[in-house]
Amino acid sequence: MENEKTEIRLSVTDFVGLVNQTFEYAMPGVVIVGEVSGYNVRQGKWVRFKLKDEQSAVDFFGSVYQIRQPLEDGMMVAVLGRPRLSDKWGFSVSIQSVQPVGQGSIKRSFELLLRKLDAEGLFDEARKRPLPELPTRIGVISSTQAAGYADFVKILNGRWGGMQVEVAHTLVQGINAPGQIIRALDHFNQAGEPPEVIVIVRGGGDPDDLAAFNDEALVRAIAASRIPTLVGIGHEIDTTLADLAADVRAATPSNAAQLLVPDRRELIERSRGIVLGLVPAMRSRETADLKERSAASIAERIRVLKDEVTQTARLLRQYDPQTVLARGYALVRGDPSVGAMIEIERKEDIIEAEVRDVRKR
Amino acid sequence: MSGKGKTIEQKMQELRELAGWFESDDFELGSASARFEAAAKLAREIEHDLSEMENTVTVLKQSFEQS
Repeated sequence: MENEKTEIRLSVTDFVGLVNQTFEYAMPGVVIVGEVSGYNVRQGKWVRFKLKDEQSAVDFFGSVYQIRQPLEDGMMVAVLGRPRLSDKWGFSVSIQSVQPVGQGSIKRSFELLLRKLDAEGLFDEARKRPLPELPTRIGVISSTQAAGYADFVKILNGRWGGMQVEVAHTLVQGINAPGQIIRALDHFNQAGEPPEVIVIVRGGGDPDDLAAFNDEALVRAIAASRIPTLVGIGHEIDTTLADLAADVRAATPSNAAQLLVPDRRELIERSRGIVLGLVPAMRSRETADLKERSAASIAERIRVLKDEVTQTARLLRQYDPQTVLARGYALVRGDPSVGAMIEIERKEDIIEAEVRDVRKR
Repeated sequence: MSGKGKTIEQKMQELRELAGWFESDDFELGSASARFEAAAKLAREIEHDLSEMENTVTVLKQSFEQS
């Protein structure tokens, strides 16, 4: 027997161990894409299903905690897992994470999870917190290579300054993205000097690219963040569950920067406007003041005139003959020569008298 | 009215208060010109501060891949 020299004889247990060692070495993590079949959950804990295509079917096994988006038979999914040969159950792939793929499966999974989390109140408006008015410390979670990140930083720097921006570089698509984003969220939430707001941004993409943001654990982590969250994923028409769980939802990464800080150019214009607005205000106050002063001067002149008229009237009253008669004096009319007749007018009567004598004083 | 050490929000508030004086009963023509000058100076300071301020962007070295 020529083959005797290369033949390895092993116990069953050793064989299982060797196969698993080989799997681990050759495939520490493999993503398998296929259609879900025979999906079932036992004791509320253990999940089993097959992934199949036209020719083959493979068993998958894991815990419910690894299934972060609702699954159903017929869905197309990508499973990150480790092939294992169990000493009791035979061959299966241990599930690490699962993501629906293809528009139909993503939509169905999205709807199922939306219904579930909405029923729990995760998206309630009452849970939403306002963003800080002018943050000085910002935590950003994104891929630094992504176009969406570049847009966000460009708009942010253009609009406002003086902020400390810490960026956690993570995957923003694919099966490993939700786990990385969750760890980045934890990092900011547990930081000694935490940011005032956490911003999660990612540019547009097809539904497969954005599926990471419909991951149940990620959506829950966003909703549970102690620090207010602002999420801007994809284009305006894209809606992910991460968007719905955020305190504030931005339509795009650029819109996230617009919602976060005011535009310095607007503020410059506003401060210029305030100063320019003072010119007409000052003119109108000046005119009012002049009018007031001129009105006061006219009133003064009228008062002086009134006084003058009063004085004159009083003086005139002094010279009124009736006033003189009232004081006991008499008026004498006629020629004051001896033998002539004169008229003496007093207050009460008029006397006619003959002049008897005229003397020089 | 030096603006040193004040934040932009504080300066904006100060500018609004200065502008408010022109509409208030405290307005007095004698000191209007000086107050106008102060407001214009403050606006120039705000514009300068806003134009100069820059963000510090730091990408964390930490990896968020599963260990």
